[in-house]
Amino acid sequence: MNDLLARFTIDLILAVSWVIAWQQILYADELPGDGFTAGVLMLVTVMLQFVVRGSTIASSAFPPRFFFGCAVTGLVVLFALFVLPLTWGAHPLEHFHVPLMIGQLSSRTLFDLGIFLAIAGSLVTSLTSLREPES
Amino acid sequence: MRMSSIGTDLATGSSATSDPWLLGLVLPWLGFLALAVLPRRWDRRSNVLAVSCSATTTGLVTHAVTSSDDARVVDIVHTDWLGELGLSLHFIRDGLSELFALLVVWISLLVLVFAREYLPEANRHERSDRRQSTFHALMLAFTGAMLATVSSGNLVQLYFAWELTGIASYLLIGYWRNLPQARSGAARALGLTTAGGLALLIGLLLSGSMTHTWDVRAVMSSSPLHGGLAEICAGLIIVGALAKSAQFPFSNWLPGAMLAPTPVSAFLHSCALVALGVLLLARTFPLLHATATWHILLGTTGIVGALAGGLVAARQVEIKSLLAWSTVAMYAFIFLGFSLGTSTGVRAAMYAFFIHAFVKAGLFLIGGAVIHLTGQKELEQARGLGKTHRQLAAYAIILGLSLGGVPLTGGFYFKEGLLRAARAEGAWLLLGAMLVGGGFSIVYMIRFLHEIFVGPGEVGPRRALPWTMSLPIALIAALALFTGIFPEWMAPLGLEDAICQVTGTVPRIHVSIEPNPLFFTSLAVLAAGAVLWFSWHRGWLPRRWWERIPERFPLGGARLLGAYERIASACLRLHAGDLTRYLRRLLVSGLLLAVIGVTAAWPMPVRHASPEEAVSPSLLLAMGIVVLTTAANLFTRSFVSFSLTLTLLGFSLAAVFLLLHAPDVALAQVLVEMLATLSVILAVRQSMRVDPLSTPLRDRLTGGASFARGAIALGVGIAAGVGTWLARADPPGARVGERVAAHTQALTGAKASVAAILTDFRGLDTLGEILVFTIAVLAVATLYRREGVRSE
Repeated sequence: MNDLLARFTIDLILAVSWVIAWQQILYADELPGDGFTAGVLMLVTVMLQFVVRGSTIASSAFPPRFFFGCAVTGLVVLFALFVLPLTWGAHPLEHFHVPLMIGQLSSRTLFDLGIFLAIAGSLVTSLTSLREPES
Repeated sequence: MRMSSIGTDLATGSSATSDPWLLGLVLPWLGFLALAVLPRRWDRRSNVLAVSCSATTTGLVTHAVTSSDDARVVDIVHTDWLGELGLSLHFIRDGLSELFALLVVWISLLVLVFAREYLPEANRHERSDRRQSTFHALMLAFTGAMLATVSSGNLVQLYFAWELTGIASYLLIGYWRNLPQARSGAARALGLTTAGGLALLIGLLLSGSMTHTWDVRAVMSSSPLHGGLAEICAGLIIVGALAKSAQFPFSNWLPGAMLAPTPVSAFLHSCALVALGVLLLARTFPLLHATATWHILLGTTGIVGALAGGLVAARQVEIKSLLAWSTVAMYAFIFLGFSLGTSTGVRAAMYAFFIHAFVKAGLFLIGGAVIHLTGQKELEQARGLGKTHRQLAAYAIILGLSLGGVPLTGGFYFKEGLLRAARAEGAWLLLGAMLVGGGFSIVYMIRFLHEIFVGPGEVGPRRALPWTMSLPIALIAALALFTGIFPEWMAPLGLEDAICQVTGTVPRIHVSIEPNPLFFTSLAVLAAGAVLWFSWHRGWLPRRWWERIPERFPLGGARLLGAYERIASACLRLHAGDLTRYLRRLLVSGLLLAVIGVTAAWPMPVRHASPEEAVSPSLLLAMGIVVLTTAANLFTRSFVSFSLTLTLLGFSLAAVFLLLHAPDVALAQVLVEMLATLSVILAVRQSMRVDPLSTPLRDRLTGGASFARGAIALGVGIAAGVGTWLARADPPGARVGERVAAHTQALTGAKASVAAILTDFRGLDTLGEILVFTIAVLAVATLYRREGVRSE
């Protein structure tokens, strides 16, 4: 399955999935989808890479340690959003927004980002840990 | 990009109150996270980071305590979670939490400083490859969990933090995981304390049902409970306290915990883990002290612990085991003080707890120093240190005599306070037990000091004790000496507030030496204990008398553990490793419960469908496809076709959700189905070592077994359908979903209700679910990586 057309197709799917995943995170307040669906979408497209390219080649492009780090980072982001409002006297997880040059960044976006990283990271780590059978 | 207008706007600046207490609660966890991800090349510097974090926490908590003027309860964080059930995220600062927090942070700091030189050498000695950063991270996590427990303003939240301390202590006791005894000791500690925790949870739920609140402040200002249910509640809560504080009959986990590094033992035995039993009794004293169970259970276990604990401690041959059993005995005294059920008893018990905390920490650090200097863990092997380490000997004498209860030491005052409280209540049995237990304490303390510091030592110079190890011991010894001269120094710093919180009275702690019959009796018992030790040491008493003293409690914990292990083995035999059997039992049990529930609640209101709920033709078609694909699953022959048919089923379900105006659920359904297909194919190929494309499913559609499976499946399907139908009984206007949909944008600024529910209304639930999910998945991945995937 590792021919040029297959690799091009899965890379294209990966690129499109990235765009859709970010759209789901950034517009979760208005459109269907959220960090969880974005994470599962990324997982499916990354797993497609492993199925088509083989785990050895795909692991070098998508190292499992990177996804483990993503899962931990996601949890840290979620925990930080829980704790940060306490530092200025607000309730835990009370939402805030950070002013940027172009509009504002809502803490709900960051919350969805944390979910995305945790879900994608943990699921990819789990599925890629299933090793190739010995020949 | 979201343009939410709801929430705090950082640009305009919201109120930024930096409560030092709150920062002190959070900082250990930040330190834990930082140390958990510390690169291996910085492992040697992990102690610096840990000590810095601990020192900052200590400064913050101390500042918060010393700058508060009165004994009122202050809400630090109070956020409703499930308000209808009385559950909230609630942290408070009151007298009790201030007292415990001061002890926790200061002793944690001293222990971490001690660990700087101790740990690397101990790791080499035990041939352990564990990273130092792991130890320091876990110590900070333990500190954070302790602070969370003592600051909990809600009893259910206290339980969660309580169990968190159990997990942290399990990981620390098993730090040297290359030692089988350390692993089994950690598991034993976790098993017994968790069993007690289960009893505690049931007791707390019972108390909540009686008082209709779990708020700590409300519980501590409640009237005492009476009646049968109150007795059961008291019994269960006391069992939790007994298990956590290693009291009879749950003492047997404590010796196994001695295989932890000495700094852990020092922390655990002084102001952490075992101290939580005292906290629990203090928090629930106003509610439960009038029950008979409180007096009888605490009194009985206290008497046994004071007598047997002291005797067993005197019998020990290892340094740390002696100190461990002395903790059992000393805590028995404290529990006896609580068992009196009076404010004088509580006052004496709290004072005893405070003195014992830092004295025991100092003695364990001395034990660690002795092990570090001599490489020996047994008393008789570490002889003659008094000649080469006079300073250490001096510190040991100050602390040892204090624990032994010699006059003009802090330990003497706390024992006198307990004796006077018992005499005032006419509790002569308790008084006798305390006197005899006090005699035993002098026996084992003299033995401790004599075996280590007196007698001929090894030939040649001994190495010096590093300053990072001697400084914490010196500070604690100075504190013990200061307490002997000014025994009431702690009163205005938190002890009086703590006692006021528990008893509702404003105590004035006043300890002194009053020459009276009780004082002279106490002196006589101490002298008798010294004579007893001297007689044994000289061989004037038969050796066989000494050897008849058990090294463990012969009853209680060991038999309890044995019974637990037999029950666990019986339950394990039910497991055959067959997934279909588990599923069958699960489904049949669920079905039975559903039938019982519906039968008990019958007749139940049923709401008939309204015209706007009529099923459209497209919805009917989608549901028809769902039924057909479900049926097709029964006839598939290979793994791949089975998986693909399930995927098709999932897609058709997604279409149903879409037609029911639930696009978020439909999207999630589609993605999860794609994931499930991939996962099944990968898992089948890797675990069963077969080609999923060509390997057939085993044909199970024959005989009585298939009829039984079909009946279970049909029954579950009918139960699910009936249950869904009955759940529609609420009138339309009262549905939660409709209320949320009506107010989502006004309250949160989000147009999508699902997003608002997940990240706002139920954000805490989402956080918890993601946390559990991620940890579970990563744990599975770790198992796969370690063991590989074996074929069946």
